[in-house]
Amino acid sequence: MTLFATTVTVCFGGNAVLADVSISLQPGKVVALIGPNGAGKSTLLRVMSGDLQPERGSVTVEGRLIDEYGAAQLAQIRAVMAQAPAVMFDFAVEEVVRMGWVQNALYLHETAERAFAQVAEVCEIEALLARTYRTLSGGEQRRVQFARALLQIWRDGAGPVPRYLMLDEPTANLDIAHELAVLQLARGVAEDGAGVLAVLHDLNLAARFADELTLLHNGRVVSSGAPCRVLEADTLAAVYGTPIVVERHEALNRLVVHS
Amino acid sequence: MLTASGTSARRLPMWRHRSASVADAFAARRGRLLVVLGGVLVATLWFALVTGAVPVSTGTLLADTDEGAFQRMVFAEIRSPRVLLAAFVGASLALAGASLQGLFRNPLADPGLIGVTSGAALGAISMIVLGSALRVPDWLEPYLLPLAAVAGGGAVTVFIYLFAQRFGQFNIVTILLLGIAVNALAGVGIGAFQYLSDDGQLRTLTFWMMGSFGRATWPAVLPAVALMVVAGAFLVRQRRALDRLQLGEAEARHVGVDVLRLKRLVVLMSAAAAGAGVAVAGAIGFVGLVVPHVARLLGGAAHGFVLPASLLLGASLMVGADVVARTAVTPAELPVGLVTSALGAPFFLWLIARARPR
Repeated sequence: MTLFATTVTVCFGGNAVLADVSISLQPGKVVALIGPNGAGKSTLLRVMSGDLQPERGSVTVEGRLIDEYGAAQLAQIRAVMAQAPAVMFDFAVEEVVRMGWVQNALYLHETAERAFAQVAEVCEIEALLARTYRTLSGGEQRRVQFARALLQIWRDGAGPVPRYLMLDEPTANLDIAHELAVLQLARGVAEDGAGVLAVLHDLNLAARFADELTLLHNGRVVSSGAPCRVLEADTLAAVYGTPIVVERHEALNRLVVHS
Repeated sequence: MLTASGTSARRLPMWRHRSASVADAFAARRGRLLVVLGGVLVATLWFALVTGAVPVSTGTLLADTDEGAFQRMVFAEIRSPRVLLAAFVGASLALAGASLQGLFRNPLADPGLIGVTSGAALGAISMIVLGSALRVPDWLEPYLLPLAAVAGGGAVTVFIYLFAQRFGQFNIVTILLLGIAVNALAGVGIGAFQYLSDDGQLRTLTFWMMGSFGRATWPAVLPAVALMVVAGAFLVRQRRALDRLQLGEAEARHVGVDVLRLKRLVVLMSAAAAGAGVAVAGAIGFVGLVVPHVARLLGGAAHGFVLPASLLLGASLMVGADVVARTAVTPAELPVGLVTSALGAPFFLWLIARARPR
């Protein structure tokens, strides 16, 4: 039960955006992709979610090539929260969240109702449900999109089924409390048996919530592994091109990164 | 249980019945609205069937007199096919408009955008101007204009479709731009034929461009209706996929929509639905663009409501407009396209003014 990307290469207009990148996403783990702008993080996430066909290399889900899955089949096991474009028509927030329910066509089925109620509750969006999605702030829209993705892979007591959650900058536009809430929920999903892949810019959040980090630079993997191994001051300084200090905060008992 | 095992360990209460579900309230309201719209359509149909240059009443219709026989003939051979055609054309133009607005994620899309209308107009005018030179059997004569319109509309849509497929990976912006380019090209053809046509031909074309149900006879109506029913059924089935497409193309794919298949289906089926209507009734503007807006203002944007509501509203509006068209200046007739715009535009303005920004 693993998602593998093997020696993936992607070129846009002759430039290699990803070069020979290999990465795996295991159930129960949160993997964070970090790196400067243009490092290829979002592109890698798009490749692993099946949006983008790599020039070379392959992506396999549960031992099958990802392009052998149909869109509906893939939607059963992986949810994606990307930088969603604007919604043009006046959908209620509740309708947007419910679009994530892909288990069966019956929207008003008991299971669907229960899953929806639970997701709305854990995401704390109940107060937003009756509002028009378009009138929400940027941060609120992100939280609603997160709830939509969470509902898609929400399995209450269904036993171990392969599930993957892919998040492209899930904390963009969120206040600090909601940053933490969203990443805690992502952790919870992982501990419930899903594989979580997240593109994160905030290295402190990455250190705090990820089991593994993959540091990308110019389309290549610089290092990957446990946060304490990857968050190494000299490497980070070289990759980001700015002095960086990494220290262990005793009171918080975790790594803290300063720039 | 997710949060129980999660680091946050926030306790989840057992699921309880939500007292006031937004979804339930929405569904109930939309259900009521659809019933009301259905009622409006039935009333409009009944009114249209009994109203006209020859008023029809149930009593005389069933009476075994000369008057009764005459009314039966008018009712069965002239009025019924005409009312039925108006209903179906209105419904399919509105449905095609609603589906295309959903597909293009743009409230300004309408069937004209994918080339159906201008292609059909080009086919029609080429038949009007050149048709007299054709030697065809007499029975085929009345079908020449609709056939030419279908051929024109179909050819332009298929061209846009294939071109986009071949050169643009069938993305929405490509189709939009192609539609603009091809509509302009068809405009050149229409202009050239207008330049070549004599006064009588020009007048025929002008009336065709404004639309009329005056040529409705059963043999002309039934094939068009069959095509509209099939295309309409395909479109209505895409309601959930169209909802999800509003999240964005990539997002729709993430939640399991086969986006490429959806785009192909909606473009071709909208073209078939609108094209069949344009072929038998001429180019009738406004309905495809505005009726979906009215539906959204009434009951929100979910396509499970917008598609059937547009269908019912479009049919009612068109049947009503046709009644006005054939009774306002009896024994002459107004072009129905003028009436749809004259009735619909002020109503639309009123709705815009009334709808508060949310």
